[in-house]
Amino acid sequence: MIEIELDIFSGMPNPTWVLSRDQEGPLYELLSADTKQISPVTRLSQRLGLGYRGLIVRRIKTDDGVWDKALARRRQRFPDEFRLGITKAKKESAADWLIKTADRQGARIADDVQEVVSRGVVIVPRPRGPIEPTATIDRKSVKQAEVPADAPYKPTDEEHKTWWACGSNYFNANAWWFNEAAHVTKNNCYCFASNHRPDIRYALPGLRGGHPATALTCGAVIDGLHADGWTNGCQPNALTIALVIWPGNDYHFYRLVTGGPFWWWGHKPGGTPAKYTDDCGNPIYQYQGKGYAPNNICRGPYINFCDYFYQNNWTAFVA
Amino acid sequence: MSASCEVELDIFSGMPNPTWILTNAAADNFLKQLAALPPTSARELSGNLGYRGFIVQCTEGENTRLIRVQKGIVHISEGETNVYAYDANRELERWVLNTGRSHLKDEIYQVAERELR
Repeated sequence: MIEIELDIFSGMPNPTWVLSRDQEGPLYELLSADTKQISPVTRLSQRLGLGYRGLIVRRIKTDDGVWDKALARRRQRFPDEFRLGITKAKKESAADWLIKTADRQGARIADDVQEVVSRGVVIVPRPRGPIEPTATIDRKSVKQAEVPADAPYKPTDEEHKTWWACGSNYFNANAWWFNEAAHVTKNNCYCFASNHRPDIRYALPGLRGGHPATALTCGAVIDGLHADGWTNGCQPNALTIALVIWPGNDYHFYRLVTGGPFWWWGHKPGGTPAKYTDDCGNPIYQYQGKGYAPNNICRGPYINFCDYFYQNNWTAFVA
Repeated sequence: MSASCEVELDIFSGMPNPTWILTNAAADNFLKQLAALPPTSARELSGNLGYRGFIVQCTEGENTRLIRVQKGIVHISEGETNVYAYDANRELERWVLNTGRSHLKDEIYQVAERELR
């Protein structure tokens, strides 16, 4: 038994339908005639954008239907799950045929969805690099930004112009944890920076420590950070964060989420998902000053870069 | 029964976003415009720094709808139901911003207004 999934939505469930026994034969023939139409389900998954991403064909049950019989009879075997519509068919496209015959199987595909499908799969431009800390990075390909990225100083260095690689920093690339559906809208940038998920939508520096920031300036928010236990120098097992300010209006934070050599940073704009990229799509990591750090990324209106702060806790409690 | 709608300009990261309540007439007008929008397919909303559109919460009797209006896309969620609509030329978005004219600091209004040009 074969199920077809039209891979098109991002938030809503995709339309699915099951092929009739009569439809299994023609699909098998179309694919056997041109097997290059078949792609692995995950192929290009990073580059399939929002919108039509092809059809996923899934063998959901073994039975005595035409598909299973054909598989048993011939040498040609197909995977139990694969994607169609990514590569062009030489003659008749199996993906097009499936779309055309979908309504016979009770799949209701709205007109505007059909229109999107008819325009074909859109492959998004290759991202300008990895987008999360688990990615493999080619050190030679890390580009030099116009303004060099702040690279860390060793605790033994005398000069301190950027931030300290403290020797026992605490790292956790846990954007996923803050992005869980029940919590994503309830925690802000300061919660993410502090690695604390209290579901306080508007956590404010200094509130927990009894001296809430009184103005939206570097100085006032820094006073609040100090009240909450953040310091300007290394501490054992320390969280490392950077504060930026939209003068007079707001604050925003970044948290160091991995160690060297790439030193990734993450951030969470308000109630939106936490991420490791900036507003221009740049991944926030660097290699020996090349690449990006909070000092040289796209920060929208948060033009004032204040400083780096440390706290010796894997969670710095906020309120 | 008429609906009551609270509008939040989604613009800050740390500080509370500015909010205001629509008048009864404006709330009715908003819901009428909303109902007239053509549906579109689901898509992700932007999570950048700065202007991110509006979050409107409308309560009508026991029903609460959360409506996000951002860059020509409107996401309406009510309980487990999620619907997406298309806001051609960002007219609804602009209309919502106008309702906040007297509630917003000039600088903030202008940031949003610039995004909508």
